[in-house]
Amino acid sequence: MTSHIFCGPADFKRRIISKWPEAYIQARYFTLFVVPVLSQIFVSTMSIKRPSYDGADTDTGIPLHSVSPVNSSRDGSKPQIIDDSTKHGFANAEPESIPPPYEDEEGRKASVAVNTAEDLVTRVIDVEDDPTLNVWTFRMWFLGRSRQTALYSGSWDLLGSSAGASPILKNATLTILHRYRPIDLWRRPARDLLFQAADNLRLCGVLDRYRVCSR
Amino acid sequence: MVFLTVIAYVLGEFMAVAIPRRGAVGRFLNPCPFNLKEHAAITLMASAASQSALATEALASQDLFYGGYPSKVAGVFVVITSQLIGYGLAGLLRDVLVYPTHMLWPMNLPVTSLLESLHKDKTEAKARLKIFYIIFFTMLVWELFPEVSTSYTYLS
Repeated sequence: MTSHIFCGPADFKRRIISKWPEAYIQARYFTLFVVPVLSQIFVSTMSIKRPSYDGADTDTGIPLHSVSPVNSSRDGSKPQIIDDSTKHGFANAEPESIPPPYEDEEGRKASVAVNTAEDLVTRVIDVEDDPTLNVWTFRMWFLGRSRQTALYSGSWDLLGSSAGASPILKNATLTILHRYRPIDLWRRPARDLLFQAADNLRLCGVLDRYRVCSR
Repeated sequence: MVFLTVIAYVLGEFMAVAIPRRGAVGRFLNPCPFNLKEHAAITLMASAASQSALATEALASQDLFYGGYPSKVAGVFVVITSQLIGYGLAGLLRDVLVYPTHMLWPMNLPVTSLLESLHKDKTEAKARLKIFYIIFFTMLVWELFPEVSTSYTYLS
């Protein structure tokens, strides 16, 4: 039997398999099937029995249970059906309490004075909805997921981020985003362009010139 | 986030125009004009990824400027744990900060009004759109030109 040098999680796994294969298989089944089911039960129980905030809303004077968007999970009751009288976006708020907008002689609408946060939100945000228009379209998934992936991969980070960070910190962030890809955990790929660019930064001595690091 | 909203509007309008609407495939790919709800969903999805975790910058500066960054597994775990602490706090504070109607988040109002002025009737939103386009092109020049030029200066 050769001497064994412990060098990392893969080696640890290999040693466990060679010593107790059936235990490893059981652990594998446990993580694959038992843990997701148990965690699902745990999370759903927590969401049902979660204690709620008992304060009253200062704008409408209504207890917060009735305005909560998660009525379905509170007390195990079914979701409330919101009728047309609540189309201003606030359940159980009287529509009469929101004054109608003024109209001048040409029919243009001018808003009344905005005093509270509720006024502001109902004036600025359009609360009408057209239920015939679909949200879950191919377009939404394609654009949303592709741009999300592009941003996660970091190649669009220069364009997407605000102008607050300095360019050198952006380069550093890009470098680290490409260095910490999950594939690097078990296989070291060829260095990509941005990685090389960061190395060129060091080799050219740009960092030394700007006194941000010393080699 | 405004950048993401504008790019989503351009790409979504392009897809609504360019993809054919007839047949079963066309009805699946292009069922309706590009509407506000899709636009908001795209903006939400993409802006979830637009802000990177701050722990990443700590790792980056340690790697580039100080040397001796932790192992890759430790780096991943540092980022994940710091993010999860934030998620936990946000979940605990949901009853206080999110559900009450008097909790107003003014940060969301610019993107919301932009979405509405892009998707409302053109006659209603004409004044809004005019101001938006003036500021949009000014900011495009103001932001993009120094960004590109400084990047090339650093890389050369």
